[in-house]
Amino acid sequence: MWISSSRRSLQSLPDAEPAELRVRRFLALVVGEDPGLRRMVRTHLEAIRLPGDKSPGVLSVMEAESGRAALSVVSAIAPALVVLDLILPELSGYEVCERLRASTALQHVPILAVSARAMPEDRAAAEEAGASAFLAKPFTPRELTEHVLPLLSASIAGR
Amino acid sequence: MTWLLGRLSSGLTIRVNLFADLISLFAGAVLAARIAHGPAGISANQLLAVSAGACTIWILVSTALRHYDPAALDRRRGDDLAMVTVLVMAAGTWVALVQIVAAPLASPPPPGLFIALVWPATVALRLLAVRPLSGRENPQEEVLIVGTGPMARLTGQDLLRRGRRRIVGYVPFSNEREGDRALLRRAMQLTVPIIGNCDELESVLRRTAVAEVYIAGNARKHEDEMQRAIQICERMGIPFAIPAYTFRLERAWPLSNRDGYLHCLPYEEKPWQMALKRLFDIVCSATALWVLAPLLVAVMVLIKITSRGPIFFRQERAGLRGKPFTVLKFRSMVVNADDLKMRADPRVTWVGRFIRRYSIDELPQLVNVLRGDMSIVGPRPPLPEEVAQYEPWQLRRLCVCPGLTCIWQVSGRSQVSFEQWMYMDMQYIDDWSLRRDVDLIFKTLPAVLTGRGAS
Repeated sequence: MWISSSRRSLQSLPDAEPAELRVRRFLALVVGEDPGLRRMVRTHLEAIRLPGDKSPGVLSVMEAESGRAALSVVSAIAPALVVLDLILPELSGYEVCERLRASTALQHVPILAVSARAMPEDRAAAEEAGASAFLAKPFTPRELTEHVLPLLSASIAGR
Repeated sequence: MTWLLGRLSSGLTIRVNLFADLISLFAGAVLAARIAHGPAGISANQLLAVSAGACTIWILVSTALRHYDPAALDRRRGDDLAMVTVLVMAAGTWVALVQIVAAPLASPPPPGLFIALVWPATVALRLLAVRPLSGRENPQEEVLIVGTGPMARLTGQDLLRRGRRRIVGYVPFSNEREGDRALLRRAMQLTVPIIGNCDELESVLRRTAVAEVYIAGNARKHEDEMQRAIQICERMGIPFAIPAYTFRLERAWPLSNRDGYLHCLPYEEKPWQMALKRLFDIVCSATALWVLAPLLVAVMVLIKITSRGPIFFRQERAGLRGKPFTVLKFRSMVVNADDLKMRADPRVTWVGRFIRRYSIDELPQLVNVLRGDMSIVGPRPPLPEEVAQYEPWQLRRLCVCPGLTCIWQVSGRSQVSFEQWMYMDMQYIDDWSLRRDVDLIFKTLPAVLTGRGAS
């Protein structure tokens, strides 16, 4: 079980502004078994910009590789967004979803469920477990952004 | 290119696909022979034999693979590529056999070259033209979705994404929330109506002809209503689909996984026999029309000169799934007489009496068979007014293609009660097999030829 804090990657910073000075304002938690997927999601979440906001770097991203790891940190970091792979080892993504929704502090956190299974049954099950949106794997960075932006705006507006 | 075209009629691309594939087989054989042996290499007859054999094998194998079934377009691209490859290899095997047998005498097309020519052409056609263009077809089947909750909404979106299906409406379960309904309306952009409620499913299905009913509920929440919906569909003979898995599956996959639904038909599916039945219908009706042409022309002339009015009597009948189509008959009555069954009807002309006695008045329906509205064997197509009076269970006789003859026609015909007739049709639907059809045809012929029981 490990959790890494956000490493600021230089590619995600377009300007000459030094990376160390940048203040990321919100936290996102990416939960998934596959390091490649986590890295891909992290890179694009870090580069995301809100409408009307010129500078990217709204989000700092934390990663968790299992449901248990995610649950152990989630209440401490109070993320503005959770990107959750539904297929996890041990504790399943659906259970993580249900537990987040059961806690008073986290019941409104937007959860973007990600899964390679995208039959109506799977989407309905995710919705019933409490996911806010569903994104079928494999997805493009553009699709990720399209799904994340409304969730993030709503989440930030609600704070 | 697709934006130049409007909507295409349903099933068009797949028919063009078959036709074009057969042409490329022929062209492939000709070109391969020419390239290998020059213009004088092979006689036209030999070439015809090679390509006719390749086409026959192609048709047989594609039937087995259901390659030209519109549902095949739901397959993944890779699967389609594999299908086309198998077909090309099967045809190529035939060309190779011809070469082994005939090479010493003639100079047939070399199989390697044949495959090299045909494979790219058929693959490109299927993947680059047919698959994208089929998305431009008019939706082929109309479906009704029971439910308005998440499952129904997600199913609707999934069906829209796949195309080929038009959703005629949603029928809500009784305990669904209004919030879910609002979400559904937003997702469907108000284009699909929400009709009645689950208790009215039977009357909804009576009013609208649908190809399939998606029972999109959660069995843990809507158990009783889903069971009732299934019962109604079964009784009325309407195909339906139920969620393939109600339980949460994470890593396991259901074995049959087309669209997350378990699809159920009102009869046992026998794809091979059904394809053969259609082939048989086409061959028989075309041959019969050809052979009987002199008789048909003679009757047409007789009808025209002996009484005033048109040659054909056109009547609207309920076809497959209750969809109306026009049945063709020779006119046997004076104009403006309704089609009433009476033993000595004064309105029947003398030519009419003769052609009715030997069922010649029914022969133009061979055109309906050729067109695919009807089959040779199947329940007689009823009038729409009769269908309106049917009990729900009697509607099930519309779940198969109507036909020229059925059990009722060979069992003494007009003397059978309506109830018994319906039972016979149900029996036919439940026990259908190709062999049974052949039996019925052999029993129909003597009944027709002796004029026994014809009204």
